[in-house]
Amino acid sequence: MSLYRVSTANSFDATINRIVQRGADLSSLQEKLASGKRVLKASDDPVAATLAERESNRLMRNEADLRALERSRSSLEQAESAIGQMGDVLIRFKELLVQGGNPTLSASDRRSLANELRGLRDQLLNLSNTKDAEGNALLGGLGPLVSSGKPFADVFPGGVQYQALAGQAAATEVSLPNRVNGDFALMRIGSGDGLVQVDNQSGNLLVQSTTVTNMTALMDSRFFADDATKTSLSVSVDWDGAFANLRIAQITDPNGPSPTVAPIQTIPLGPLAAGQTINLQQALGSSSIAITDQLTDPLNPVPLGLQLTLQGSITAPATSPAVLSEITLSASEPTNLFASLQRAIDTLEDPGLNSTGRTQELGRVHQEMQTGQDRLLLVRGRLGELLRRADSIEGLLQDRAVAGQKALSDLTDLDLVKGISDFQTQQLGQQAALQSYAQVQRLSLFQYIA
Amino acid sequence: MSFNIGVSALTANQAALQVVGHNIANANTPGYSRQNISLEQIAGQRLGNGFFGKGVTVASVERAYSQFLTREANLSKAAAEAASSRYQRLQSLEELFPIGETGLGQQLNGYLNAWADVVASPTNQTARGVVLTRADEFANRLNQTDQLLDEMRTTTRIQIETGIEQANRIGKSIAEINQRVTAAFSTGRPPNDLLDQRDLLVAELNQIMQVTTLEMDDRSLTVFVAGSLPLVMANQATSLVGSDSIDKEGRYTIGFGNAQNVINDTLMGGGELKGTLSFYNDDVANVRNQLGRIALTTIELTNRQHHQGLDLNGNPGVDFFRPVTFQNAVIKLDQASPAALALSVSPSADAPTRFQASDYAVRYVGTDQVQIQRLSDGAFFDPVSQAFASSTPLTATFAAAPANFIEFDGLRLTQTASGNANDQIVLKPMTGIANQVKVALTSPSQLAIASPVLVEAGADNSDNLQVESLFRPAASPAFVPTTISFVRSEVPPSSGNFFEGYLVNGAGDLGGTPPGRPFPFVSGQPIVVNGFSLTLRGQPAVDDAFTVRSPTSGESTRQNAGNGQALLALRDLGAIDGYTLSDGYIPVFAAVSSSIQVAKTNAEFTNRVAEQTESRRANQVGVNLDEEAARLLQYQQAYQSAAKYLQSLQSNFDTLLSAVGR
Repeated sequence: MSLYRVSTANSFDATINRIVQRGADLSSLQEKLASGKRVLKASDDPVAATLAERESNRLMRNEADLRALERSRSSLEQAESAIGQMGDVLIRFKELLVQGGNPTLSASDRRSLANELRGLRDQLLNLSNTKDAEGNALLGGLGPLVSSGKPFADVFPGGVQYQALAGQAAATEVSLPNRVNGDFALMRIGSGDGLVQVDNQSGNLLVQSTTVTNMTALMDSRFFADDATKTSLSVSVDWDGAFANLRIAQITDPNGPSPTVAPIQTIPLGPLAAGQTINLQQALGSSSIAITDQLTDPLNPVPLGLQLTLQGSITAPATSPAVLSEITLSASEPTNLFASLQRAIDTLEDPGLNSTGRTQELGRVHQEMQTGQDRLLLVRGRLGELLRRADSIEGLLQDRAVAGQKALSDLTDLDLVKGISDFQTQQLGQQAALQSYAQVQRLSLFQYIA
Repeated sequence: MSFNIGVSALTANQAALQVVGHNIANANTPGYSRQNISLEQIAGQRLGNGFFGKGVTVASVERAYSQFLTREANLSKAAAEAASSRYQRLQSLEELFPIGETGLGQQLNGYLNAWADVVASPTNQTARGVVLTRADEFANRLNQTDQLLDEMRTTTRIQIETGIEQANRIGKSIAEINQRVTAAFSTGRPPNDLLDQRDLLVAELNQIMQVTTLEMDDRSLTVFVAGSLPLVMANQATSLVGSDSIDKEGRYTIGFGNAQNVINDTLMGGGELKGTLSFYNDDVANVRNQLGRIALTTIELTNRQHHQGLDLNGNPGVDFFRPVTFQNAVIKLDQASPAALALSVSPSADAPTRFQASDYAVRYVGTDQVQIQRLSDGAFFDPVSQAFASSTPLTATFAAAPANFIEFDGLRLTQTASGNANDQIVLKPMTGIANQVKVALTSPSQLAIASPVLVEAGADNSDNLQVESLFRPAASPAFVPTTISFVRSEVPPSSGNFFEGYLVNGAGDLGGTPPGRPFPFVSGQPIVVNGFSLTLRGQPAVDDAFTVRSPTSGESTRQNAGNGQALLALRDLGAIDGYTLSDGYIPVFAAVSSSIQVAKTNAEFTNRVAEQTESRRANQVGVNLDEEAARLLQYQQAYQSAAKYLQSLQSNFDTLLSAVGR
């Protein structure tokens, strides 16, 4: 009998429950439609929520990385411009150097030139200490070591010193350094042409160029070696009253307390009378000579692998014998651009230097500046490469941001078309439920009694 | 005679109408069972020519009742209550762990990424300040969440205690009704409304805690909880007693009669109490542990690395976050136990990446001998492998001071006084950590961004090898000034075998083949040696050299960001069960959301089942108004017919009187 019985109260309850449930569904759908999100709470779709959280973490990181990249890029751009200006300063310096080599200038002309050069050197120093808006020294290498944050300091005595950690910070997949190695850029050039350094000791002997023809032989002569065993070469012209000779000697431990001198080669320059002048190139018969150890073991001459181009006119004095002129050749030593510039200034201001000595010195500075300019170009090239990389990293990060946004949207956003269609279906269902409820519940036998 | 028949018909039908009226009146009364009237003819009287009926009488009024359907409805209702009370509590728990922009993950990442700006501009006070602000936001968020969790725990506890109180009250009421029912049945007639009331109480009790019932011969109802514990027996009810201090795992327990007589909660089939109890004991505790772990991991990793740096004034880094204490983490179940244990973070280097979101149970088996169980997975501590690898209890021993500790899961348990066998102690290391997170630094200058060791490229470097990072890793050995030099060397001498690589302070790899060969160099891979980690990138050339040294006095490290880089790199450290620190929030909310999904499905299913069984029960025993209307007509017509019968008797009588009269 109870198979088809329905309890009135229970059927009311059940229907109302169902309608309430539908209402709740409808309202949650409406909330999602309003916010445009499919996943509002993690429990709506735990997997999508987890992935979305990961994605938004990545997006945040991307943002931070982009910010840091912009910061580095602006620093690198400023460093690039500072290095460009340094190049301009060096070009101007070189022009003045050529001017200073003019033998017709008076001592006071040279002094005024020296003043201008001093100004340029200061300018270079200032440029090398350029900082960005944050006070970060652009040529600070791996970080300045003084609290002023300036990597270059002009110290007396000693000249300019690098007060930062030498070395270059590396670029990573998503970041760039914001300093370049100032030590490499300005502080590490070799003296002379980078191999051989020429010093004029006296007289008119001028070394126009040195050429290393055999590096192994030169190394074997211990020309490049540690201090105590190092050798340098002395080239001199002497005169015994009748004949002039070009003598070459090897000096062991030249900077030590008691250097030893061993003659290795003598080239006769022919007869020379007091007051008479000989042209070195004519006397030698050629412009260059190859240095060879002929005296240690006369039967087995050993070439040193070094070739000299000499120039100069040498005049014999009234009394003999005399050393008419002397120069020394030694291995190039590490120096820096500022020291080299200072050398040019000192040369121009030195009243005791003869014109050949000045030419020799200015020629050397010229060579060193060439190395320095090349070095700056190298650094500038590296900066250009870093800036190019900044563009590519930025592109990468932005692509990632776009991809991340899309993934995030795919994971959590509501498909509006589907959402609206669902909503309408639900709405229709709700309406039908309410209407039928109202009609069915009106059906009661009591309506018909009475 | 005929008159009596009419009267009996009138009274019987009136009684029937009364029952119909009672049914209609109680159509909406909860627990009401529809009543049926049984009519019975009055046995006839033999009168010469046959038996003549004497009318009708009411035999009994009985309620429609199905023991089977009622029981089924009660049980399914209990299951539904358990599931939906847990689901409801979990929903409010989930509100504490939103995703996206309002989530804890956003705060954590905001803090971790803030280091990037400081690394880019080490002297920028604003960038430094932002790190502190972000860290503060993260700390506040953790504090708040933990406090809210605590409040939620308190609310749930009140809910549990209220539930217990209600169950006790209902138990007593059932006991009282039992007495009255027994008395009423002794009169031989069923007290329908009392029985309805008792059934309603049982149904209510089922919503709180699932019970089974057994009707005794005297018609009293015995009510059992958790299978076989008699909550009500005849007119006696036993009280339930809640307690949170006697379980060895620190769970809230319900005792039968007294707190010690713990009811096994797996035997509690359903009911709101089961749901809230498992929310209180499992869900909240689990989430709190997860939250504590992410807090502790972040604090330890940050502090340890921060200690390795130098601040803007060249002073060594101090604690970034205030160090946590484990004051309330050790809970002795037996207050008389002499054991004194203390928890701290293990100083070992990998400790911060090994924390587990779990409580631990420690049980003494001898004076200094303990068995430790991790409660999240039930594994036991194996003192040999130093890991929770055993499924059976193993005994670990506390050594004498100063080595009087056992280390597990990044924690150190120190014993300062021995315990007795069978002493039980619960460790809750992660509970309440999140509430302790607080930034200790006050000034942006105190951020220790600079590395205390510096690297300098040698004068002859080709400059193709570049420095990516240099810092002192947390918990690294004492620093030794070091020169890393790149060489091509013949090993062993004059063997003709040349190797390229780097030497550390002139020494090669003694463990390599052949011994003493230079270490092979991999671009971008950190060289970790002598208390520092140096990462070089690029192509080395022979004679490249890097000198790692401490700054001499007077040297400034303001522009150095080596330690900042190391702090930033923490975001990629796999610190939390394989998740990186920056993704550390994911396991927390994933735990909540997946248990919510399960709870939701469970609640929906059990509710549907409960609804259906209740419908079945109600359809059997509930009132159908159409039916009652029909019965109303039926009895009304019968009553009217009886009245008509009486009227016709009257007119017969009148006819007779007029015929014989006068």
